[in-house]
Amino acid sequence: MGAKTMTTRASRILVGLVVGSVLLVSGCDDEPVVTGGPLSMRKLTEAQYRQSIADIFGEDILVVGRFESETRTDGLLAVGSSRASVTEAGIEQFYAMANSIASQVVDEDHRDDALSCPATDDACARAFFARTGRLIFRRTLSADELEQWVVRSTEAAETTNDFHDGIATALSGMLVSPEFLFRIDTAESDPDAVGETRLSGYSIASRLSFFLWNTTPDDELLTAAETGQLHSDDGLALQADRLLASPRLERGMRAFFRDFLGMEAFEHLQKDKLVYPAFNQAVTEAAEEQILRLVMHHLVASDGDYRDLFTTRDTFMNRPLGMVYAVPVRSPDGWEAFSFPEDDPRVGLLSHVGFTALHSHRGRSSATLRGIAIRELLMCQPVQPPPAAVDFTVVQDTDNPNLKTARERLTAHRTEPVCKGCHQFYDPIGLSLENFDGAGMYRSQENGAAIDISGDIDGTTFANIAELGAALREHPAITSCLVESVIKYAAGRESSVEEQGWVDGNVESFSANGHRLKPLLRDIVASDAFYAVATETASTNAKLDIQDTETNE
Amino acid sequence: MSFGPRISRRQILKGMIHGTAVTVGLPVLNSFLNSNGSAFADGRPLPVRFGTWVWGCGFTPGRFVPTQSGEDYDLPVELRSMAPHKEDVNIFSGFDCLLDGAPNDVHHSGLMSIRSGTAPLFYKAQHAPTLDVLIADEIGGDSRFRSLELAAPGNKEDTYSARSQRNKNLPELNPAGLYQRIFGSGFQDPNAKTAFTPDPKILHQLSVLSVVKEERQRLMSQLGAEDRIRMDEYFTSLRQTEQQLSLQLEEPEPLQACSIPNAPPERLESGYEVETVKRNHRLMAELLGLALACDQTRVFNMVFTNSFSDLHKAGGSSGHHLYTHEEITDKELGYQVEAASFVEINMEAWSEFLSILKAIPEGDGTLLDNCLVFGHSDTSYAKIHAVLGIPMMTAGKAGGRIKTGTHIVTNGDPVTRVGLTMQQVMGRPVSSWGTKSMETSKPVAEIFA
Amino acid sequence: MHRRRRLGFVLVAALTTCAACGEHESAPRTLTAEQQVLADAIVSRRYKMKELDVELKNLRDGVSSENPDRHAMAFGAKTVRSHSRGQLDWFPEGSGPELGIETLAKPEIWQNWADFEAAADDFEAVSDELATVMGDPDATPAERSAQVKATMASCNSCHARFRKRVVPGKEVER
Repeated sequence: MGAKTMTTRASRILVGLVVGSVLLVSGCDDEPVVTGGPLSMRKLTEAQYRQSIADIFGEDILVVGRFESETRTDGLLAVGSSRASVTEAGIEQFYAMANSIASQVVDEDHRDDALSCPATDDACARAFFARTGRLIFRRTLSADELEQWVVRSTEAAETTNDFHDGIATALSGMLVSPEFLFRIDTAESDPDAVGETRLSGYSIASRLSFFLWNTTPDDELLTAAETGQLHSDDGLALQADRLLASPRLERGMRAFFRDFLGMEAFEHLQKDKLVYPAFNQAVTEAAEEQILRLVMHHLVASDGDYRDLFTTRDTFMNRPLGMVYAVPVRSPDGWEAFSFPEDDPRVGLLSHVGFTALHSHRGRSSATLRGIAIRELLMCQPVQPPPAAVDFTVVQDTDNPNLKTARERLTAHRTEPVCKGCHQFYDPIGLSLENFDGAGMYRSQENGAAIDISGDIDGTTFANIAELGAALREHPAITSCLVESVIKYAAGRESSVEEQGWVDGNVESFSANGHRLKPLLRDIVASDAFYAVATETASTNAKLDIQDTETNE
Repeated sequence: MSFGPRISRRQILKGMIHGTAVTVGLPVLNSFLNSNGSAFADGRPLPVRFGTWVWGCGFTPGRFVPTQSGEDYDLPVELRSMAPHKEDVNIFSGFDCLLDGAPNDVHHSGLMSIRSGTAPLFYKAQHAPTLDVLIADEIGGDSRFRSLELAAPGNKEDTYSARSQRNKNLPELNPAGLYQRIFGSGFQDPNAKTAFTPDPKILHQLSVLSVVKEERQRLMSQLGAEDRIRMDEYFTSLRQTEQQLSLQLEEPEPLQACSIPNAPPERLESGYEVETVKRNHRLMAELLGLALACDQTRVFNMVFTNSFSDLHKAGGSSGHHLYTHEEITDKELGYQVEAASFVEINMEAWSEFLSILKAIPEGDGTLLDNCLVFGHSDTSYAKIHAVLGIPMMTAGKAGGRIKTGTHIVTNGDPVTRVGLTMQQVMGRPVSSWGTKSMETSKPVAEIFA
Repeated sequence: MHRRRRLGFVLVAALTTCAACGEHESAPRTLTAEQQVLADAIVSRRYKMKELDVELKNLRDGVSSENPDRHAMAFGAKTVRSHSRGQLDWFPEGSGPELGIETLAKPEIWQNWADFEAAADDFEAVSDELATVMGDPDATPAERSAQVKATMASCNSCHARFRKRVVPGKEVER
């Protein structure tokens, strides 16, 4: 069935504790143990598919079609991609897209760029499929493979008497192939370690490219793979640095933060039109973009400290958001830099509409949802769902005129023994954001009553959002969660406990490097651990036998 | 999609690959039907279709479940819109989802218990294919579409048809998209008056896809166990695309019930507002009816509202779901008034759906007569997410294979009895279904014809 | 009420060091697949006990309310009855504190299995009666109240002997 159960996952963690502790005790404490994970097969996300097509065939190729939904697994959509397959309707869509893309590629506007050969003959077709196939499949095609595609192209061309049509027919097949739709790791014998396997250069290229640029490896990266450069420390570092220095890094990091912050929820965010008439589609889109802009500017462009995201007063604003934030915006369209004044109640990521409105109900705020979002998304501390039979008419007495503020209405969360065991973990944090209603707009009072936004988080008290931000800034879970999530995103799976040493090492380095994103990325992509392949892993077995070195068949 | 013998692609290719023209020779029927209209002239029966119809957040206890069992059952207030269909439906009450101590994952455990026979062991899990997938595997193999999924609110997450947890069938989200999918390119009019000439390019498309298929062996050999399952699912899905191409090489059989509708408006708004959902649902149901009549598919899954039921009324301050949790029970009336109003909306839509299928004549009856539609919700009493007594109904006579017009009551039998029954009616050779306490080999035999 | 959480977390939280929230560190040791099943049993029974907690609370609230939700109480009682069936299965041999995972179960359970069985049987019987009473539209408020009390008494007597004391403020949820 393929469903990952608590059993396998937890067993990996627990059993790995043994391995990890044994090896750590026996060997060097400094170097983390390099154990790696299984070979992965990851379905392309919609963004990756679109970007890959744009990179291979050009930005003006239209991709019109519908993509299947992605599943959040172990906290990230990226992990879901390691488990997803394609349904009948999904392939239908992919095939239709493939046909459409292929016919655009060979049309009069594009064929010269795509084919760039003087004659419309077999040699031309062969050159096209070799070159394009390499980019599509992320590896050089064998002679036999190439022949297959050329033959099909030629046969199709004979029937329609149209060389370009023949090309398009064969190209459609390539674009619907699993080797395009999925990135499938391959392994090879390790010449430096007899009997061991290592990740192939092509797979290293894929991991690098999809992680940092969210797209398929470019020609230079593929060449580096083919010439063995990616298996040398220097060669790998060269490519890693190239990708990190590029403006395309922002695309990759946008994809990460979109996943990390659960921002796919924006697609279905709807607010009650009567209660929040100002919250329209333009605001929804802008709210998402504002957060991404803030994060990109701070972490990618300015190379800033991640923790400062919780205390910064700098952000970006556009007109639709200006209405919601009640601030003036000079540019009639487009974005401009903006700073909240010193005494403004808004400070940091959490006071942004894209956070508060996303984690609210349609017609009112939700301290519980916001507190949970902070715990789960930003601190990697997952929480239990409420038991199914909870009677909310008792706890959420929204019609009671004596209970004016959310804090009062949620009293039961704090006092009922049945409730407080869980709610004390997140309600106090969420209640600190009650100055922002369900649309993220500021209010100083609720139903005429003052809003108390003081609280505590894991022993640190705060009186307002600035202090909450400061408390989070110093909270170790905030930074460790980011590091763990970046690694999980890049690998498409939870780290095993064998890898915990490496993960912890990255958390320490992150701190030592001023909590800046790029050094973290570099540490990851330049490490051996990121590419290490475990031959027989516990992901396919409940029991781990550490003597067992059988390879996958 | 034809009901007759299929000529294999291999046969066609052998004769055709070098571009010779082709006329596909299939027997053309002289008349559509036999003398009593229940089968085609050569004796083949009209196809029986299977579908599901889902609404979220259940019913109001005391206002929905008929008090009488058997054929003389009553229609309580929340079922009054079912009056025109009383003889066409069977109502099942008192069937429980037995979770065996698995957590009650709200708006999911009940749904999955009914549809997959197994209670999810952890959050959002699914441990077996949903029954519509199993039935489609059985009867959908020859169709242009193995199944069609539709989500009236227009949200692609609203789909409860899946082979596995991470492979959920992608639903159509609006009438225009559904129209394009069915009647757009790739559609072959079974009643076309013009001579049929298959497009020879299709052969090349099939040939190209066979290059993809040839990679299967090599790819499988480098994958671990779990990834092999996923790759297998990919190739299963790819077969459907091949199927669709192959069908275009055959002249479709004429179908009396089939007609081609006008295209619906583009860019209709979608969302969870009641009037929007109702309108989109109606338009999509009409298209679906014709898709069935034109034999484009034999399995469908309509989601009227998602299991969480984000349904809300324009200008209303809350929605169905929040009302079920937060609305205080009316002291005099004894139930949640606003929440109950949404149940009636759901049932009106269910009734309308059935009316739409009934409005298409087929054979000597209607399309609905040749359907088995399974309508159900995700919970019974949504306020507490109860999964005991989740409402379930069948509609349609399944081509005469079942009796209808009765209310079947049990006292806590597993819901899987109903799922098993439907799979057996649809021809799946299965004698038991479900796991643990929901494993059953006892169909609801009372409804077998 | 959209949620994105999973239930498997509790095991992780119980096992891994959590510097931020001060949970105890568990010593690494071997866990076989069989022990993994026991660990899962602990995690899931904590959640199911929580469900029982809520069901009983709803019933207590219901019998002391002027406008009880009779339907909710009927459903709730059936859930209690259904959970009461599985009590013994929830406590497989070896799923006590010796496993090293946070649990309120005391070793007494397995040391005095016959008594634990008797307590479980009592709970099952009183839950059966609870479901009957709550499903009976003619039951008087006094009868309902009495049956809820009897059920609570059954819970409490089993807990008194076989469950560790829960310190207020240090509930082990989340």
